[in-house]
Amino acid sequence: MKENIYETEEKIVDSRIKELLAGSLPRVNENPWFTRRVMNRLPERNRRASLAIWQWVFYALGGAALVAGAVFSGKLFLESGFSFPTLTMLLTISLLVTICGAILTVPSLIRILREP
Amino acid sequence: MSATRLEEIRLLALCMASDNRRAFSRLVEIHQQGLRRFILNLTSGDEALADDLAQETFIKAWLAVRSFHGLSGFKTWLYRIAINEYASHRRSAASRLRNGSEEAGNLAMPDNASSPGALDARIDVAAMIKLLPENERIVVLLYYLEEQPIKEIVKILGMPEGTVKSHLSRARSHLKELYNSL
Repeated sequence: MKENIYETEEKIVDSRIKELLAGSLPRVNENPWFTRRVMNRLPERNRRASLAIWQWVFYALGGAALVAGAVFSGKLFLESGFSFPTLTMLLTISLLVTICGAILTVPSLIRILREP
Repeated sequence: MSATRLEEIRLLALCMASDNRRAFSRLVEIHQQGLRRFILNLTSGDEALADDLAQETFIKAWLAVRSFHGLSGFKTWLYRIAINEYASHRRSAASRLRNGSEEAGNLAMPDNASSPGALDARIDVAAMIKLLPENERIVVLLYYLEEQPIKEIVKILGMPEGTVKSHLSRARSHLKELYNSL
Protein backbone atom coordinates (compact mmCIF):
# COMPACT_ATOMS: atom_id res chain seq x y z
CA MET A 1 0.00 0.00 0.00
CA LYS A 2 2.76 2.39 1.09
CA GLU A 3 4.78 1.31 -1.96
CA ASN A 4 1.83 2.09 -4.27
CA ILE A 5 1.50 5.60 -2.82
CA TYR A 6 5.23 6.11 -3.30
CA GLU A 7 5.04 4.90 -6.93
CA THR A 8 2.06 7.15 -7.69
CA GLU A 9 3.82 10.15 -6.20
CA GLU A 10 6.91 9.32 -8.26
CA LYS A 11 4.80 9.19 -11.42
CA ILE A 12 3.25 12.58 -10.64
CA VAL A 13 6.71 14.07 -10.02
CA ASP A 14 7.97 12.49 -13.25
CA SER A 15 5.14 13.89 -15.35
CA ARG A 16 5.62 17.37 -13.84
CA ILE A 17 9.35 17.23 -14.54
CA LYS A 18 8.64 16.08 -18.12
CA GLU A 19 6.31 19.04 -18.65
CA LEU A 20 8.80 21.42 -17.09
CA LEU A 21 11.67 20.20 -19.24
CA ALA A 22 9.65 19.97 -22.44
CA GLY A 23 8.57 23.58 -22.05
CA SER A 24 11.92 24.97 -20.95
CA LEU A 25 14.80 23.25 -22.68
CA PRO A 26 16.02 24.46 -26.10
CA ARG A 27 14.35 22.91 -29.11
CA VAL A 28 16.26 21.77 -32.13
CA ASN A 29 15.66 23.72 -35.32
CA GLU A 30 14.93 21.95 -38.59
CA ASN A 31 18.16 21.67 -40.53
CA PRO A 32 17.46 20.52 -44.11
CA TRP A 33 21.20 20.49 -44.88
CA PHE A 34 22.25 18.27 -42.01
CA THR A 35 21.99 14.92 -43.81
CA ARG A 36 23.72 16.29 -46.91
CA ARG A 37 26.57 17.67 -44.77
CA VAL A 38 27.02 14.30 -43.06
CA MET A 39 26.99 12.47 -46.40
CA ASN A 40 29.56 14.91 -47.84
CA ARG A 41 31.84 14.30 -44.89
CA LEU A 42 31.63 10.50 -44.98
CA PRO A 43 35.06 9.03 -45.70
CA GLU A 44 35.63 7.46 -49.11
CA ARG A 45 35.19 3.76 -49.50
CA ASN A 46 38.95 3.26 -49.85
CA ARG A 47 39.53 3.67 -46.13
CA ARG A 48 37.10 0.88 -45.34
CA ALA A 49 38.21 -1.18 -48.35
CA SER A 50 41.84 -1.04 -47.17
CA LEU A 51 40.77 -2.69 -43.94
CA ALA A 52 39.11 -5.44 -45.96
CA ILE A 53 42.25 -5.88 -48.10
CA TRP A 54 44.33 -6.17 -44.93
CA GLN A 55 42.00 -8.94 -43.74
CA TRP A 56 42.03 -10.67 -47.11
CA VAL A 57 45.87 -10.75 -47.11
CA PHE A 58 45.78 -12.59 -43.79
CA TYR A 59 43.11 -15.00 -45.04
CA ALA A 60 45.17 -15.69 -48.19
CA LEU A 61 48.39 -16.23 -46.22
CA GLY A 62 46.61 -18.54 -43.75
CA GLY A 63 44.98 -20.50 -46.61
CA ALA A 64 48.27 -20.84 -48.53
CA ALA A 65 50.06 -22.07 -45.38
CA LEU A 66 47.36 -24.68 -44.79
CA VAL A 67 47.42 -25.93 -48.41
CA ALA A 68 51.21 -26.13 -48.36
CA GLY A 69 51.10 -28.03 -45.06
CA ALA A 70 48.45 -30.45 -46.37
CA VAL A 71 50.41 -31.13 -49.60
CA PHE A 72 53.64 -31.68 -47.69
CA SER A 73 52.05 -34.00 -45.11
CA GLY A 74 50.20 -35.92 -47.87
CA LYS A 75 53.48 -36.44 -49.68
CA LEU A 76 55.14 -37.53 -46.45
CA PHE A 77 52.25 -39.93 -45.74
CA LEU A 78 52.57 -41.52 -49.19
CA GLU A 79 56.32 -41.90 -48.83
CA SER A 80 56.60 -43.21 -45.28
CA GLY A 81 53.09 -44.50 -44.44
CA PHE A 82 51.47 -44.06 -41.04
CA SER A 83 54.46 -43.19 -38.87
CA PHE A 84 55.60 -40.85 -36.15
CA PRO A 85 56.60 -38.01 -38.56
CA THR A 86 53.18 -38.12 -40.35
CA LEU A 87 51.34 -38.10 -37.03
CA THR A 88 53.46 -35.16 -35.89
CA MET A 89 52.68 -33.37 -39.13
CA LEU A 90 48.92 -33.97 -38.73
CA LEU A 91 49.12 -32.68 -35.17
CA THR A 92 51.06 -29.59 -36.29
CA ILE A 93 48.51 -28.84 -39.04
CA SER A 94 45.60 -29.25 -36.59
CA LEU A 95 47.34 -26.90 -34.18
CA LEU A 96 47.98 -24.42 -36.99
CA VAL A 97 44.29 -24.52 -38.03
CA THR A 98 43.22 -23.88 -34.42
CA ILE A 99 45.62 -20.95 -34.01
CA CYS A 100 44.64 -19.42 -37.38
CA GLY A 101 40.95 -19.83 -36.52
CA ALA A 102 41.48 -18.16 -33.13
CA ILE A 103 43.43 -15.27 -34.70
CA LEU A 104 40.60 -14.66 -37.17
CA THR A 105 37.68 -15.04 -34.78
CA VAL A 106 38.94 -13.56 -31.48
CA PRO A 107 38.87 -9.88 -32.68
CA SER A 108 35.26 -10.35 -33.89
CA LEU A 109 34.29 -11.95 -30.58
CA ILE A 110 35.86 -9.07 -28.62
CA ARG A 111 33.96 -6.57 -30.83
CA ILE A 112 30.66 -8.39 -30.18
CA LEU A 113 31.26 -8.44 -26.41
CA ARG A 114 32.21 -4.74 -26.32
CA GLU A 115 29.15 -3.67 -28.32
CA PRO A 116 26.53 -1.84 -26.22
CA MET B 1 10.80 10.78 -39.32
CA SER B 2 10.31 7.19 -38.23
CA ALA B 3 10.92 3.78 -39.72
CA THR B 4 9.87 0.30 -38.87
CA ARG B 5 12.39 -1.98 -37.18
CA LEU B 6 12.36 -4.12 -40.32
CA GLU B 7 13.26 -1.19 -42.57
CA GLU B 8 16.06 -0.22 -40.21
CA ILE B 9 17.49 -3.75 -40.32
CA ARG B 10 17.28 -3.71 -44.14
CA LEU B 11 19.10 -0.37 -44.31
CA LEU B 12 21.78 -1.54 -41.88
CA ALA B 13 22.28 -4.74 -43.87
CA LEU B 14 22.77 -2.66 -47.05
CA CYS B 15 25.34 -0.45 -45.28
CA MET B 16 27.24 -3.47 -43.95
CA ALA B 17 27.14 -5.60 -47.07
CA SER B 18 27.75 -3.05 -49.81
CA ASP B 19 28.72 0.27 -48.17
CA ASN B 20 25.42 1.61 -49.47
CA ARG B 21 25.53 5.39 -48.93
CA ARG B 22 21.91 5.91 -49.87
CA ALA B 23 20.82 3.47 -47.15
CA PHE B 24 23.04 5.25 -44.62
CA SER B 25 21.64 8.61 -45.70
CA ARG B 26 18.16 7.29 -44.93
CA LEU B 27 19.35 6.15 -41.48
CA VAL B 28 20.74 9.65 -40.86
CA GLU B 29 17.39 11.14 -41.92
CA ILE B 30 15.55 8.88 -39.50
CA HIS B 31 17.72 9.54 -36.46
CA GLN B 32 19.17 13.03 -36.92
CA GLN B 33 16.36 15.03 -35.32
CA GLY B 34 16.30 13.05 -32.06
CA LEU B 35 20.07 12.81 -31.82
CA ARG B 36 20.58 16.54 -32.48
CA ARG B 37 17.97 17.42 -29.84
CA PHE B 38 19.68 15.15 -27.30
CA ILE B 39 23.15 16.60 -27.99
CA LEU B 40 21.78 20.14 -28.04
CA ASN B 41 20.52 19.69 -24.48
CA LEU B 42 23.73 17.94 -23.50
CA THR B 43 25.72 20.98 -24.70
CA SER B 44 23.32 23.36 -22.90
CA GLY B 45 21.88 24.80 -26.11
CA ASP B 46 25.03 25.30 -28.22
CA GLU B 47 23.50 24.56 -31.61
CA ALA B 48 26.69 24.73 -33.69
CA LEU B 49 28.53 22.40 -31.32
CA ALA B 50 25.55 20.04 -31.17
CA ASP B 51 25.46 19.80 -34.98
CA ASP B 52 29.23 19.19 -35.14
CA LEU B 53 29.03 16.42 -32.53
CA ALA B 54 26.01 14.88 -34.25
CA GLN B 55 27.90 14.84 -37.56
CA GLU B 56 30.91 13.22 -35.90
CA THR B 57 28.60 10.64 -34.32
CA PHE B 58 27.15 9.64 -37.69
CA ILE B 59 30.61 9.48 -39.29
CA LYS B 60 31.86 7.22 -36.48
CA ALA B 61 28.74 5.08 -36.90
CA TRP B 62 29.41 4.76 -40.66
CA LEU B 63 33.01 3.71 -40.05
CA ALA B 64 32.05 1.19 -37.40
CA VAL B 65 28.78 -0.05 -38.86
CA ARG B 66 30.25 -3.49 -39.58
CA SER B 67 31.02 -3.95 -35.91
CA PHE B 68 27.35 -3.40 -35.05
CA HIS B 69 25.85 -6.83 -34.45
CA GLY B 70 22.34 -5.79 -33.50
CA LEU B 71 22.52 -6.92 -29.88
CA SER B 72 21.06 -3.52 -29.00
CA GLY B 73 18.98 -1.17 -31.11
CA PHE B 74 20.72 1.06 -33.66
CA LYS B 75 19.44 4.14 -31.79
CA THR B 76 20.93 2.88 -28.51
CA TRP B 77 24.26 2.29 -30.26
CA LEU B 78 24.13 5.74 -31.86
CA TYR B 79 23.42 7.46 -28.53
CA ARG B 80 26.32 5.64 -26.95
CA ILE B 81 28.65 6.90 -29.69
CA ALA B 82 27.23 10.42 -29.20
CA ILE B 83 27.94 10.33 -25.45
CA ASN B 84 31.49 9.15 -26.12
CA GLU B 85 31.94 11.98 -28.65
CA TYR B 86 30.62 14.50 -26.13
CA ALA B 87 32.93 13.14 -23.40
CA SER B 88 35.88 13.37 -25.77
CA HIS B 89 34.93 16.97 -26.67
CA ARG B 90 34.72 17.85 -22.96
CA ARG B 91 38.13 16.33 -22.32
CA SER B 92 39.79 18.28 -25.13
CA ALA B 93 37.98 21.49 -24.11
CA ALA B 94 39.14 21.03 -20.51
CA SER B 95 42.68 20.40 -21.70
CA ARG B 96 42.61 23.57 -23.86
CA LEU B 97 41.33 25.44 -20.82
CA ARG B 98 44.19 24.15 -18.69
CA ASN B 99 46.60 25.32 -21.36
CA GLY B 100 45.07 28.76 -21.12
CA SER B 101 44.04 28.90 -24.77
CA GLU B 102 40.38 29.44 -24.03
CA GLU B 103 38.36 31.87 -21.98
CA ALA B 104 37.80 30.45 -18.51
CA GLY B 105 34.13 31.31 -18.63
CA ASN B 106 33.31 28.87 -21.42
CA LEU B 107 33.13 25.82 -19.22
CA ALA B 108 32.29 27.51 -15.96
CA MET B 109 28.84 27.55 -14.46
CA PRO B 110 26.77 30.56 -15.40
CA ASP B 111 26.67 33.40 -12.89
CA ASN B 112 22.91 33.41 -12.91
CA ALA B 113 22.80 29.82 -11.63
CA SER B 114 23.50 31.03 -8.11
CA SER B 115 20.39 33.20 -7.95
CA PRO B 116 17.62 31.24 -9.63
CA GLY B 117 14.89 33.23 -7.95
CA ALA B 118 15.80 36.32 -9.92
CA LEU B 119 15.37 34.68 -13.29
CA ASP B 120 12.44 33.42 -15.27
CA ALA B 121 11.50 29.75 -15.10
CA ARG B 122 12.94 28.91 -18.48
CA ILE B 123 16.44 30.04 -17.56
CA ASP B 124 16.11 28.40 -14.13
CA VAL B 125 15.41 24.99 -15.62
CA ALA B 126 18.20 25.26 -18.18
CA ALA B 127 20.61 26.42 -15.46
CA MET B 128 19.44 23.67 -13.11
CA ILE B 129 20.04 21.03 -15.77
CA LYS B 130 23.46 22.52 -16.42
CA LEU B 131 24.26 22.41 -12.70
CA LEU B 132 23.50 18.70 -12.40
CA PRO B 133 26.53 16.41 -12.33
CA GLU B 134 27.35 15.08 -15.82
CA ASN B 135 25.97 11.55 -15.31
CA GLU B 136 22.76 12.80 -13.68
CA ARG B 137 22.27 15.28 -16.52
CA ILE B 138 22.65 12.57 -19.17
CA VAL B 139 20.26 10.25 -17.32
CA VAL B 140 17.70 13.08 -16.94
CA LEU B 141 17.86 13.95 -20.64
CA LEU B 142 17.57 10.33 -21.73
CA TYR B 143 14.75 9.51 -19.31
CA TYR B 144 12.60 12.63 -19.36
CA LEU B 145 13.32 14.21 -22.73
CA GLU B 146 14.12 11.22 -24.94
CA GLU B 147 11.71 9.03 -22.96
CA GLN B 148 14.12 6.10 -22.98
CA PRO B 149 13.31 3.27 -20.55
CA ILE B 150 15.80 2.52 -17.76
CA LYS B 151 16.92 -0.69 -19.53
CA GLU B 152 17.92 1.26 -22.65
CA ILE B 153 19.73 3.90 -20.55
CA VAL B 154 21.68 1.08 -18.91
CA LYS B 155 22.78 -0.10 -22.38
CA ILE B 156 23.60 3.41 -23.61
CA LEU B 157 25.69 4.35 -20.59
CA GLY B 158 27.09 0.90 -19.87
CA MET B 159 26.31 1.39 -16.19
CA PRO B 160 24.63 -1.03 -13.76
CA GLU B 161 20.85 -0.56 -13.45
CA GLY B 162 21.18 0.40 -9.77
CA THR B 163 23.60 3.22 -10.61
CA VAL B 164 21.27 4.60 -13.30
CA LYS B 165 18.33 4.45 -10.87
CA SER B 166 20.29 6.21 -8.17
CA HIS B 167 21.38 8.98 -10.60
CA LEU B 168 17.76 9.37 -11.63
CA SER B 169 16.53 9.46 -8.05
CA ARG B 170 19.04 12.16 -7.06
CA ALA B 171 18.22 14.23 -10.14
CA ARG B 172 14.50 13.79 -9.46
CA SER B 173 14.82 15.27 -5.99
CA HIS B 174 16.92 18.18 -7.32
CA LEU B 175 14.35 18.93 -10.00
CA LYS B 176 11.47 18.48 -7.57
CA GLU B 177 12.98 21.18 -5.37
CA LEU B 178 13.20 23.41 -8.43
CA TYR B 179 9.62 23.09 -9.56
CA ASN B 180 8.36 23.49 -6.00
CA SER B 181 10.19 26.82 -5.90
CA LEU B 182 8.61 28.02 -9.15
